[in-house]
Amino acid sequence: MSKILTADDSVFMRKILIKILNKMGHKDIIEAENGDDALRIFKEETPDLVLLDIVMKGKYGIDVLKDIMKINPDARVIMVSAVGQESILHEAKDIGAKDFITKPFKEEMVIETINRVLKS
Amino acid sequence: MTEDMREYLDLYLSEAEDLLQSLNESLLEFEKTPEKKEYIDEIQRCVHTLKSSSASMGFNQISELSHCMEDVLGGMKKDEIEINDYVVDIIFECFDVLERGVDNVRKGKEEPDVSNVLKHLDKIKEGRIDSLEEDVEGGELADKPHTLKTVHSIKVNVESLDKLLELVGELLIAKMRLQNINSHIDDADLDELTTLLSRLIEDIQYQITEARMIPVDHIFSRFPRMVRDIAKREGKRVSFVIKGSEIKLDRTILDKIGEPLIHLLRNAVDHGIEMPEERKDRGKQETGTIKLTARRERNKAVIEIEDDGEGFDAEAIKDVAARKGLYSREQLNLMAEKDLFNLPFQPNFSTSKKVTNVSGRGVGLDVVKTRIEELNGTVKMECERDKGTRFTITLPLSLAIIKSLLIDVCDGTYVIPISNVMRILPSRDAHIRHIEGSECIVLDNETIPIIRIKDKFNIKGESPDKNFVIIIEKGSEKIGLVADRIVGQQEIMIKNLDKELRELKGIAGASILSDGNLALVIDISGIT
Repeated sequence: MSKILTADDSVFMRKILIKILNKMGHKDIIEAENGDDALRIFKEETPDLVLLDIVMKGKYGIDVLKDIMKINPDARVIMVSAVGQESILHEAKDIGAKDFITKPFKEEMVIETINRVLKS
Repeated sequence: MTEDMREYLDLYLSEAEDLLQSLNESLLEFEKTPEKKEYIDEIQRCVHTLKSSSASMGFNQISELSHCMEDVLGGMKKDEIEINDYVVDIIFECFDVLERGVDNVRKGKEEPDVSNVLKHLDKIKEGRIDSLEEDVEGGELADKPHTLKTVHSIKVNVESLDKLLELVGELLIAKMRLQNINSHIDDADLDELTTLLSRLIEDIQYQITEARMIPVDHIFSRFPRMVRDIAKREGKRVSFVIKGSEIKLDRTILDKIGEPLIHLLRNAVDHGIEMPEERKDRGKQETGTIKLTARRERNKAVIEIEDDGEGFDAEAIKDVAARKGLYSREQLNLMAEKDLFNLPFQPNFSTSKKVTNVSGRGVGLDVVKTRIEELNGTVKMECERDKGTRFTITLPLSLAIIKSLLIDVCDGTYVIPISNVMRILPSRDAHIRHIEGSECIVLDNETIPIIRIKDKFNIKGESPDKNFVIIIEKGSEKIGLVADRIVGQQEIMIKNLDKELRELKGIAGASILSDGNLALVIDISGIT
């Protein structure tokens, strides 16, 4: 079981993700509702995996990713994006994101991606 | 919506409504200064979040429209799309459609057709229309004026309205002094002029009073969400209906009525409406209804809160009152029903058997009553077992200038708000009876306690044997005030007393009369 941080300004989105994570057997989940909280929690809790939304209040996901990479270049971060943000995803991969999932997500895709990144 | 997403519907709706609200606020700010782009970020964020969650729920029209809006907003931010009136109007139109969309979802209706606004967004994206003149296409948008808007309203500081009203009060006094002088010299021209002045002052007063009024919607709009949240937490089903939200009240009153209303609404959800199973067992619909109604009745505003829940029970009230030692069983059995239903407004009274974190243990009806009476208003409760409870709150439309009855007691003049006066009876001391050491009079088989202003305020002087008893409505109780003489009616402006005098019980303020003398305004809610 891994410690997972999910950062999204939509509580609706977080709940959907958490349900999938719970189904996968992950119970140790921390939520952040904006970029600044996400970064703070990352420092304090050192989660095994971060699910990072791109558009958030305050610090945007891509900037949070940059800061996370400065703290730990090996951190496992999966970007959570919506349709229309494909160009940012290339940038995110270059910065160090391990993978990405696209909203609206398909449960199987989310499970597959998370398992793949956690094994890496 | 897919079946597995149904459990997220409430969460989706509450978030979507929050997003729409901040979207609305940002749009309004953006509209004021479209050349500044700081608000576009926030608008884009809201639209973006709405897009993702709507797509997840399978609300494709809302999601598609949000998606296109996001594109256009992005273009605006990057200066690829010129920001003009047409573009701003379309963005607003999109917002309306999104709002309708979420509303439809809440009501379980089909999503609205977004193709019309999408067409406009596409045109903006392609840069085919960048000015209003080219928008020759018909349809709902063409009907709307896109030209510069005429300014119909301006923001005015409340304090300057207060000041204006105060000045009208002074004007009123000056006019009355003029009338007083004329009563001595009796000049026809002067008389005509004073009458004209009177009418003009009345008009100004009316206009200022109107300008101070704001629709009750101002506070009512907060309630649906609150009722919904409490109902949800309690596991109850409530349909909340608001009527008359366009009714206007003086803003001072509106500011102070919010808290008592919140309390009564919370009580209605918490203690009134039963759990769905319980309702079903009683043969009611599982979803309870709470109605909040505002209406105007002559020179008063009436607000009603009505639920179809379990309702107080006269027997339950008697039990509690007896248990708390407020009255004996015999007294309670003799009490008229309306007096029984007045008991819960007494401090420390509660019929609720359960304690919740929402509205506590039924505490606070006494506070509700005090707050409303401070506004010169009244509150009464009616209920029927298993049928529900109704609270009726009556409020004056304005506070500052009130129609008053002037009375004399031992050569001093006192003011009573006319709205509280029910009847004036010519009387003699001999008519006043003594029951258990207290004075009272019997009117239409009802015993009404008497209060002598002379004794209350320790006024020295002789009072005539012939006097007047003024029957006052105090909440749902009545009291009789004894006056030596009735002076007449006047519109008066209440002035607040200085700090040191404000604690005086039974005095609400002071006023200057037409003869230049001072009169104390009797505080009906504070006199006992």
